Amino acid sequence: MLFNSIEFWGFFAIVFAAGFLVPRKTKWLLLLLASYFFYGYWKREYLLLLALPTLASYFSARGMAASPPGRRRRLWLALGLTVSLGLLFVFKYLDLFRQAVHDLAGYLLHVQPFSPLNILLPIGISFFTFKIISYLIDVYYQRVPPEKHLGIYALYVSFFPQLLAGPIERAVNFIPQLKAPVAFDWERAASGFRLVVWGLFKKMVIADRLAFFVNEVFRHPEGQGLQLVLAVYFYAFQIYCDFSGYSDIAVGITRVLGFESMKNFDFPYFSRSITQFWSRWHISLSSWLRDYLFLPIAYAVMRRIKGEKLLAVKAETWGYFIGIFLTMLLGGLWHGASWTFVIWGGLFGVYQVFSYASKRLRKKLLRKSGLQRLSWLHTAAGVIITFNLVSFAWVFFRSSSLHAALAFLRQASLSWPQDVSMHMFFNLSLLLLFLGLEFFIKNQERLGFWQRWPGVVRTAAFALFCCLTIVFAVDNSNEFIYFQF
Amino acid sequence: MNSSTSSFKGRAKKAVGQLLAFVFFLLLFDRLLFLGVRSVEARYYRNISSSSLEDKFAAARARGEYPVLILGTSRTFDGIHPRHIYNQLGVRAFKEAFVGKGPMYSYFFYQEYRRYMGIPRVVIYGIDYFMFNITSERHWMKRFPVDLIDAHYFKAGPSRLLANKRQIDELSNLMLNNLKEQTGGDLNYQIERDWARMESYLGVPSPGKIDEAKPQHFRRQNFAGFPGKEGEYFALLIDQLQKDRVQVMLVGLPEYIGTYWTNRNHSKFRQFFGKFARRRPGVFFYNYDRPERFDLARAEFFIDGGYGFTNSHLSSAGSAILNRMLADDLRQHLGMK
Repeated sequence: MLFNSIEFWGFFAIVFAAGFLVPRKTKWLLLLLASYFFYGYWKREYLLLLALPTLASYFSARGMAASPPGRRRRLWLALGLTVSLGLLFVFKYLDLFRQAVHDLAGYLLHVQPFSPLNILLPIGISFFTFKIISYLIDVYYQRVPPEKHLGIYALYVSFFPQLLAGPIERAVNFIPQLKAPVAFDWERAASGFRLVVWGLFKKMVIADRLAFFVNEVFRHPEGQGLQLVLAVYFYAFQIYCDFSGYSDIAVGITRVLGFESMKNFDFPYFSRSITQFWSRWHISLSSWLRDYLFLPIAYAVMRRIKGEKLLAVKAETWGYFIGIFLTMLLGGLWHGASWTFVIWGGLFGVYQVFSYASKRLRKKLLRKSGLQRLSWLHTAAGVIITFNLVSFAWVFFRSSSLHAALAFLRQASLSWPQDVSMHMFFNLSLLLLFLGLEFFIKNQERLGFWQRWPGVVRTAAFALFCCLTIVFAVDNSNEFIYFQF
Repeated sequence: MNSSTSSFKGRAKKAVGQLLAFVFFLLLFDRLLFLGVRSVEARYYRNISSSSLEDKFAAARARGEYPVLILGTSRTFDGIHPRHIYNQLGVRAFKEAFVGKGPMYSYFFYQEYRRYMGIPRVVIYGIDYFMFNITSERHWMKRFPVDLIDAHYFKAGPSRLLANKRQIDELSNLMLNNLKEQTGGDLNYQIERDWARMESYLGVPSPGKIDEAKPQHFRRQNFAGFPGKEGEYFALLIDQLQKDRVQVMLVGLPEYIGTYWTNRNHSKFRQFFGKFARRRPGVFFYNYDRPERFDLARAEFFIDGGYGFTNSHLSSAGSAILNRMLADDLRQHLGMK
């Protein structure tokens, strides 16, 4: 059941209507049943994969709470993490690991050709595993109390709007909401519905239309010249609209059901630096990586350096360099067991290390060139450079293999293509429209006119937007790109 | 009544008012945009330069007799060529096969054809795995009586836009294709309009872009059984051809092996057409879409297709082989030795 399918909306209408029939105290049960039905709808066997780590982490957290700080507590944590990460490893990384071992053995011995197990990746496993890990670590460090109610905890892990591709909601924000659901609020539901429509527009009108051109060019890059460059830019917007569209729908549905979910995107392509980009792109994952990976690694590195400096570099700089680089590499690997994702993550690591290391030099250059006084030009240059660096990294993310990515880059040029696709011009106009809308939404409070319009005019404008979305939507239930992760 | 109850009632009233206003505007814009789409469509069809059937028939008749008529979709357009048939058997074939020409188009076309060109001796109908799952494109159907066509195409429903989304997409795709054609990009539409070019067309070489590797997972397609969307017109056409004592060859065109495996119910497909032909005198089923009959795995025989792709077209090399086989089978239906 995809968010952009009729069957999902039928399912949602039933759940929403049933919400009015059940007492508020037992709303969790309705949502839990709905969430398990939603997940089991893909494949019934998947339910076990959802239930097993949920139960293991629930009892592990309870065990931690009952144990004093020390070895036993650590053992409970290790147990919970092993079950969740073990399942993730088997389903997502086992083949990559086996291939690496096989390749290594291949240098030393004559071995049989590698035959992958080709285990089918259960949808959403990376997302609910990260939810569970954050919960276990937070319980371990006593940042969040262990949830006593198994049903509420199971709902936190499996809550259907967030189950397949996030946002990766933290227990500290979400469990209290699940325990005390608020009464239906029209204003909240209406704002959730608007977000859903905006998400559908981004997915079905922008992302799916850009996909026609992008897929074709990435499949056959030969002789495409300038179209290759444009395809990379289009892909940057395709993946943004696809994933942020999905997130908007998830957040919108959550809101209609009476809960508040965290924001996952905040106009990332208007970022002036890579660091800013990562604070605006897939926020629930980047903040997760920051809290549970980057900070522990950075502190561990700093603790291991005796004295303030190592090789004339400050200990905290070492902590940042190693922490950010490893975090980005692992963040890349989280997306999939492929070298293209590792390189994609590594590139962002390099960008950020370089940005940190060249901070002083860049400031000096800015001062000397006088660009610092022209703040708008500085901002524009920052946005353009950041966007291009991000787009370059997308080439690796999008390509089916490292070989394909390098071939793509070799063929990219500014020469006019042999066969110009009409989609190229169409997509360019589509992007201009989208950027205009994004700019309007980003600045709507500053611009102010939308709020000044009478309510009935706003309602009419929104209805028109819904109709235009139907007219221009691509009529096929394409999967959201991030489902594969 | 306390103040909290009255404020709740006030909020509920406002909410219901907003909801009704939204529904009202939604329905209003839905109808207005739908009318807009239809008016754009009408204007567009008036403006596109398309030769009428009468022009085509007149030009063809001037050249001589056409004992063979070829009908079908884009797979037939790329797979069966009158020139090959002429070269091998010395008989002329009139081809009316193109993308978007489903069974309903073929039925109406045949009514016009027999009126202007007379009754052919043999009709070759290129059948597709998906043939009961397609609707003839509206712009082609504009060549025939409009009242019937409008009723067939436009559906009612709470949302006209949703109910007719397919037609709207078809129009936008057509407009894009037309734009491409005007910039010299899409030659196929030019061939469709130019009867002489259609007669000499021999397909295009394989661009070598087929992904030959078989992925572990790919989308599969079920066989949409009879009657599907336009199956009744297919049956009507065959009835008419039988009444006219025309020999009918139902030709299953080869698909690239990836597409062949994507279309998973070939046995049902074969069974249906086999049975259909057996029950009707003068109707014969020739299925070349079989690995043992045609080398479906040779990528150079195809322009496109692959695992996960439900459609596949023959290249000039592939169609040359098919047409040789087809000419041998056609010979007996024309009474040649």
